[in-house]
Amino acid sequence: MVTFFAKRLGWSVFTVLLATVLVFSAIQSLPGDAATQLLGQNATPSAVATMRQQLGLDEPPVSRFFTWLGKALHGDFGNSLVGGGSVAGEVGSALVNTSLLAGITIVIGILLSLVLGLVAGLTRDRWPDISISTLALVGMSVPEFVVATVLVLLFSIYIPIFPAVVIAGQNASLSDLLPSVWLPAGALICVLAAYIIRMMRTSVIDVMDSEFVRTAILKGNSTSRVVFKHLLPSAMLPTLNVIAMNIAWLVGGVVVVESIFNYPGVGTLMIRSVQTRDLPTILLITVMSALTYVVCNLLADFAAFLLNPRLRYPRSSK
Amino acid sequence: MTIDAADTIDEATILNGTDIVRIQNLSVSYLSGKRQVDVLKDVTLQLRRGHVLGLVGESGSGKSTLASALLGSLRSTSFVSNGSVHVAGQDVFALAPRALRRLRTAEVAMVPQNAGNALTPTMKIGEQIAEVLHHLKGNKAAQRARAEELLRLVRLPNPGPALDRYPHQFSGGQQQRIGIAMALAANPSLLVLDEPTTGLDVVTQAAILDLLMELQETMGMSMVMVSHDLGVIDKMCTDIALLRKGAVVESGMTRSVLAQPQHAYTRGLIDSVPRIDTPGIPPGMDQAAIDAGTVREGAVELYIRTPPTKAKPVLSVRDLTIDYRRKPVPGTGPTVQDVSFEVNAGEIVALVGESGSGKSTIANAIAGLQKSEGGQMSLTGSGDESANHLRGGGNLARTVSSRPKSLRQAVQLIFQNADTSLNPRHSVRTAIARPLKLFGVKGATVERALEEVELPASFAKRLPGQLSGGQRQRVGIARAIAAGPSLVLADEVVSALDVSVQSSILRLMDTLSRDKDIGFLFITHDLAVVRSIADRVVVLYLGRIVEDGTVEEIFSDTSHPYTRLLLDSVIELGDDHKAKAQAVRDEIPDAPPELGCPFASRCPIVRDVCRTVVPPTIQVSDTHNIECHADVSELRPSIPAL
Ligand SMILES: Nc1ncnc2c1ncn2[C@@H]1O[C@H](COP(=O)(O)OP(=O)(O)O)[C@@H](O)[C@H]1O
Ligand code: SF4
Ligand SMILES: [Mg+2]
Repeated sequence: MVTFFAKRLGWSVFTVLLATVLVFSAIQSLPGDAATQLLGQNATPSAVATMRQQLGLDEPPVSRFFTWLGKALHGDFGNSLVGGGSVAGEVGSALVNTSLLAGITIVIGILLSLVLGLVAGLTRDRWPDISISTLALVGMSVPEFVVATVLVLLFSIYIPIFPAVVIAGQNASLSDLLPSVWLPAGALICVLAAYIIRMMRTSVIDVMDSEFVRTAILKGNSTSRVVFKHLLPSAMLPTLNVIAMNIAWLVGGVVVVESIFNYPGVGTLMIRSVQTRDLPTILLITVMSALTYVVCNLLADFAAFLLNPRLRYPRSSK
Repeated sequence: MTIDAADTIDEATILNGTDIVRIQNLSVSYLSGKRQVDVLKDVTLQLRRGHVLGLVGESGSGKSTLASALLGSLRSTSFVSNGSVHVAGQDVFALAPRALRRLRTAEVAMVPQNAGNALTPTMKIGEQIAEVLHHLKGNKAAQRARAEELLRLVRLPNPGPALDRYPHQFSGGQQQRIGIAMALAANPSLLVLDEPTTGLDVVTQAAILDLLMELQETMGMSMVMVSHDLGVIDKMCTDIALLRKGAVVESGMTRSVLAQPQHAYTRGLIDSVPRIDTPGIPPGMDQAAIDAGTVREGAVELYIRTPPTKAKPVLSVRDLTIDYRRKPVPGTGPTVQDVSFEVNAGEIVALVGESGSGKSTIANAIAGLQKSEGGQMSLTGSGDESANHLRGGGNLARTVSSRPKSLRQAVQLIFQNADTSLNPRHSVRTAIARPLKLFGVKGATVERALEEVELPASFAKRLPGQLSGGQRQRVGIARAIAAGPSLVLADEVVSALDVSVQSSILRLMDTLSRDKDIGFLFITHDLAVVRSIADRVVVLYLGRIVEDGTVEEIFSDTSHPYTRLLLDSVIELGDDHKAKAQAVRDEIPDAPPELGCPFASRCPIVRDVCRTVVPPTIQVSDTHNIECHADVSELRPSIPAL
């Protein structure tokens, strides 16, 4: 078990590193850099060269990457090439805002989809299942920006209960942000939930057909006991990985949805930083996203470990 | 008026008094499109309290449907189209959900066919038993104590710590014991058992049945037991009902029905059972004759196989050693050690032993699916193809991916479960055409391969789901034979089949071995099947050969103590079940001992030397070897003690 998690941990570190390398090379391959973006199209070549020197962009990319990596390992992520402030501070405050959005999405989204998936699986082919499955199918096939637009139309234009775009800036307090978090969160939940519901439904149906659930029923157990004690742990297992994958997807979805609602989070910051080729900011965001992905997967593995006694007690250690 | 009253009393006493089960004109159906298909047809049966009813029939005859109807449970698409089921005086299909649950917690309990699948994998054993103990609700300590007591009752080793273990931490036989304990927890007046020992090997089966018998007698429980094994029914049941296509064709007292069957179906089933005391393959069932109702008279005509006359080895295994252990575990030896045997062209050699004895491991090593740690395995080729095989050196030491094609072609496997080894989405044609194309077999066609296994050419179009169990197994054989092998490894190929189908598959293997000079390594735990088809037998225990010889020699009076245990555990129709010695039947250990005789921990005639020194070979004859420290005279059955 210890070796299992040690291996996973090693793999996680590798994933995060790989992500930074990939993002670094991707930004590198884009036309222009921070100097050209800052100075605009009409800048003279010499001005650009001076700017480059100031920003340290004249060094070869490989050495720049390792300099960055060396500092990053000591917790120094450098300063923004554009604003000049500490990247950690800027990303940090955006991250707090995004965490609010993501946290609400994940908690509500996962609970809701597990419940809906369970209900659909238990009422297989009857009306609750048919309505839930149809909705999930719609959620899967419609991209998040369409969902976002529909939500805005419904809840801030026809029935104006939520603001359509966020006016609060980057440094707004959480209580200022709270009213504007629901629509972006709603859009993310819709898309996130679809996959989890489908998976949960399928695995509930599979487990319902299993011999042990049949036996649990024939033992005279109440329906709630059959569902919660006998069925749910086994049905959750295959769903866990889908949950982890979807949370990883959320990292991308957040970018789209945040920029639609002008939500002052990491996603919005990311788009801005890519436009200005602000490499230190992009890299830190990359590290944070990759960490989210990796931590989600580790948590999924750990949850599987808790749910599945076969993993906890292998047959050989009798 | 008076008559009415008498009637009511009568009805009540019947329902609550003498009869625990009353099934009246029960029909169960499902809809296939608009058409109503009957799974059970007009079944009427009674069972008196304290009696044991056996439900017998071929697969698909409706046994399981009838059994679960006793618990008021049907498949979700099935419904009761007529009749009723009363258990302990209650009309189970008329009960409200709460009352039905009460019936299931208090009156009827089910022991599932495969406890391995029927125990919830994510719950501790103790908790799964405790949830049935409704009368102790809320009292955790009392529930635990009772659960432990139940596990002790079914003789699970270490019942206390077992409560905190999960199902996968137990062996198949232990899981079945736990399943029985769980069913007994509710103190049911009726225990329903659906094939409770079918997946288990003879020794475990005998132990579980003895246990059930004892529990039934001491607790005065009524039981309904489903089985396709007439020997088991004969041992366990006072009453019997034979089901065919959903209808009861014959019922009555077990002994008299089995001794003098009135229905052709019963006769046919009895005649299809191979016996350990008589060589030969029984005739298959003549379904047309049964439909016509002709009951056969006189003795059964068994087909006696003639072993090949000349010994022309195809497979030679020398000192094969296989070790699964990643690091040495003190006190244990390798999984398979120093196994040597031969298979000749046209010969059927049986490899027998309990599960866990290493049969499949050896077959997998020969097939190249498992790597071996020591010894030699070689294929010597047969007939005119020998040159072909020799090109690959005939050396089977390498695993399948690094074997030359000709060698892969020459060794073919047939699996236990034809259902899982055939791709459900591929037609029979695709399945058989694959090896033909892969090995470029000259002049062979799918049709020819089907003809060889006695299936019509039209079957090529079918999908595995459209075949019966026996037909699927034939396709599995056709696929193996199509490649033109000289050696076929057949792993438990008839174990899952009805006896009625079994004999025709055995006949087919006999024909193929003779006509094509194919050597068969036939793996099974069913000794009666071994007796009917094998030429030679190798008895394996914990990965070591304990005895080998011709089939007559293995079934003769002189046997290794382990072979004796296997033979004594076989339950046959017409045995004197009560008198049969109750052998020491504790379970096969997890791993073989490092030193001495593998059987020492279970052997009734063990001596000190057995625990340290590898037993010598006793040569009973040129062909019959027994590995044992005891004297030959001790290897004959002892006269039963007074
Ligand atoms: N609801 C149903 N839908 C389709 N087939 C069914 C249904 N119920 C039973 N059957 C079929 O009826 C037959 C009898 O089943 P079963 O009681 O399991 O027989 P047995 O236990 O004797 O093998 C089988 O062929 C089974 O597939
Ligand atoms: S060698 Fe000893 S333990 Fe092994 S079977 Fe013979 S008598 Fe029994
Ligand atoms: Mg059945």
